[in-house]
Amino acid sequence: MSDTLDLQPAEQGAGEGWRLDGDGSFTAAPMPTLDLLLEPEAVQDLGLANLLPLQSIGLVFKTPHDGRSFSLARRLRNAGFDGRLVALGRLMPDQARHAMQSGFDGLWLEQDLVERHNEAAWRAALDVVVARLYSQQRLPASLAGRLAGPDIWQQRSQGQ
Amino acid sequence: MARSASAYALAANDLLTGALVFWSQEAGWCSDFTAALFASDPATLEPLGSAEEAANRIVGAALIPVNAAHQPIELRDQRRLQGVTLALRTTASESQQDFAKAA
Amino acid sequence: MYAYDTFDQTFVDQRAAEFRDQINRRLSGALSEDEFKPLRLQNGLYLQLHAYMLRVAIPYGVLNARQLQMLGDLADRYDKGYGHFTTRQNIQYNWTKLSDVADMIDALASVQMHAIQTSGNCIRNVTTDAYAGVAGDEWLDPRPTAELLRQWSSLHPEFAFLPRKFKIAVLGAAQDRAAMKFHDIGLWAKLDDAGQPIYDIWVGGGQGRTPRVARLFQKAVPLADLLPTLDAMLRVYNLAGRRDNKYKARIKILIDEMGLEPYRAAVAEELGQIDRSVFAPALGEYRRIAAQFETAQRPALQGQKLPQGSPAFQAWLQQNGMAHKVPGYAAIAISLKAKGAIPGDASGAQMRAVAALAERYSASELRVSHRQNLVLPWVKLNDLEELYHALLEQDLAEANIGLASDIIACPGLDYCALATARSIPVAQALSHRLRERERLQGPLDLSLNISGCINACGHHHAANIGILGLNRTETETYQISLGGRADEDAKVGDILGPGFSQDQVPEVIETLIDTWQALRADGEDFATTYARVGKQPFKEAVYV
Repeated sequence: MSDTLDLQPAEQGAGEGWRLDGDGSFTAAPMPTLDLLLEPEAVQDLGLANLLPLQSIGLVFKTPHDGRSFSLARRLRNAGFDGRLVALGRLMPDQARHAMQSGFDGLWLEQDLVERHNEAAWRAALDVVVARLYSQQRLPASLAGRLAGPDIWQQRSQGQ
Repeated sequence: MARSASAYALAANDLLTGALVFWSQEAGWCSDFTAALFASDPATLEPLGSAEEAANRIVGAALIPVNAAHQPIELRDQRRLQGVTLALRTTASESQQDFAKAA
Repeated sequence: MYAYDTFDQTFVDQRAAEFRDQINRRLSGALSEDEFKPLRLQNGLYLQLHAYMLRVAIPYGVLNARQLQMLGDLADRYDKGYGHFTTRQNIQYNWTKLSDVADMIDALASVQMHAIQTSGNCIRNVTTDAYAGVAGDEWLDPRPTAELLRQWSSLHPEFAFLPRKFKIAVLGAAQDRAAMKFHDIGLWAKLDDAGQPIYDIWVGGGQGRTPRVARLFQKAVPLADLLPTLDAMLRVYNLAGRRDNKYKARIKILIDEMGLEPYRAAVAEELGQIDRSVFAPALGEYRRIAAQFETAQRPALQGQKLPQGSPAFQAWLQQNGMAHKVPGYAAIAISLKAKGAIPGDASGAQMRAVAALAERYSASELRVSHRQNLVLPWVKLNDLEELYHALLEQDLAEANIGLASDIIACPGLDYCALATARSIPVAQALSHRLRERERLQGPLDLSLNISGCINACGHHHAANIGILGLNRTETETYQISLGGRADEDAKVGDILGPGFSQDQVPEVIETLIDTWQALRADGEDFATTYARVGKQPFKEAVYV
């Protein structure tokens, strides 16, 4: 693990796509400008502390079956990362909830993936979901709408 | 591909019901294995399976290697075609009466 | 027992709607099978050899009469009139249609049930002792902990796509009746000096092709630290567990390859980063849940007496009854292992009949045991004889709990897409032989489990006599192992030698039992004899 990093900025504007944000808004957008784009394998080598000062990080999902980036997001948030965290790659609309509740601010999706599931499914990605978990870890400040708010245990403890 | 196979049939589960089905000689899906299309070249069936999966009609398309009598060669296929091999309900009466007598 | 409040009900209702939407998108083609598969598995829906199979959660094996009645109704309405109780205290329906599943889930939600995380690479249904809350040797009721974990793990966003499935069991008694040491994580709950729950955490147990007995991870973890510790353990596993080979993806392999100490260190580092305030409400939650279970406990009864009854009644009570922690009651197991029966199967009519008996004789409460039987946990001693006769009428008074004929078996190649050989016909043939032998010789004190493939859903590794069905050159072959045990002295069985044909198995098993009976000291069970004499005499008897 190195103390200093030569961080390569992620490729900018590499493709057309869509962004899904924590409030459920879904808009056409080029690939976001990110300080770093990471595949799960790379994080161990980089060292968490080196990532914390960054403004924005993209974490890649190589397949919908590989949930490592959910844990990476949570690990970054737990370590105090408060920049923008974007999920990219082969996600399904059904995983948007998982991403936001694991600490991502939003998703960026390539055009073909949006077409595969059709746009309507992505627009509805945060509608037909279990919005309130029993125990919810710290959510990003950007999260609004259905997923924001206290979890079930907090609500119960407050007598709601 | 099975070395001793004389031919192949294409099997799958129906997407909606999950029932075991075979690609038929009528170019559709059937539940009767004897009505299945048997092809000596697996390459004629494999693209069919992929296309039918993509069309969301079936799931789990797989080839069944068969012998010259069109009997499946592999144990799993034999059992699958045979269906469930056990009596579905069993009564306990006989056993309990035995014990009551013994006691 | 635990009853849903509006939060719980909203949760399962939303999940039911979410899964209905996912099914609709699958049928429309918006979701491919590759995408739908992890989603359907997380809702207990498999595709088997002949049909879809739906596995319904019975959290920690506890259910009420109304729920069992619904399970019976579902069996008749959507299946072929029966269901199969599993070794993880769930029930599965073997003949469901994708087009019916959403309606089944809605029906389950109407009685506070669901199929959440009964499959898939996520945290599965948490299991426990079928006698939780009533066992005489219990020091802490494990059900509040199990319910707390159910809530914490349900739809956990981070742990829904783990390298492999993840099974947790909780115990709170001296005796392990939940095969805890064969789980990815086992919790052995105890009480500290102040009477507060503490947990010994065991990790890395499992069966499958690389069987492992769990190792002690940490002793005496206070309740306040339990969820943060589990959170850290799961995160390290999610990130470091292997994803290149599904047979090496369970946490037991991570522990093997990484080593227990480095794993402990990684978890400790992770724990150091955790925001513990997130878990603070768990203590209050535990108390709220525990209060529900405490309220359901019944006070001691005066004037209750064990009935004399017939010798057959006495034999049944001796075998299927269990001493209760509350005076005046007994816990009664209902065997689903009659002579020639399919282990764990019950018809819709039987389920409704047992539900009615639970309502009348057991405060409407039931349990499912990991040995695929049912338990009535609250039977008044004065009611025992009446209950026995009622069970006799329903063909449910088989007196063989814990005996050789109380066989665990997976569905095997009759149903399962993964199986390599049939297991149920083997179990049925053995059941006839062993039950007859028990009738003539008295109780055969040993466990016998059968799996239809190396995945070991029939727990063959953990049986005194284990049978593993394999495919050898397109022929069903059965490998025998000896000396396994699933209790607090858990052990993986030793392979006896070359396998046998299906026809040979009953004779071989009888030879093994003959050998044990010839070698055993007075009153010795099979496991004890085997531990003393080893494999050799059995091998010599079988491979003549």
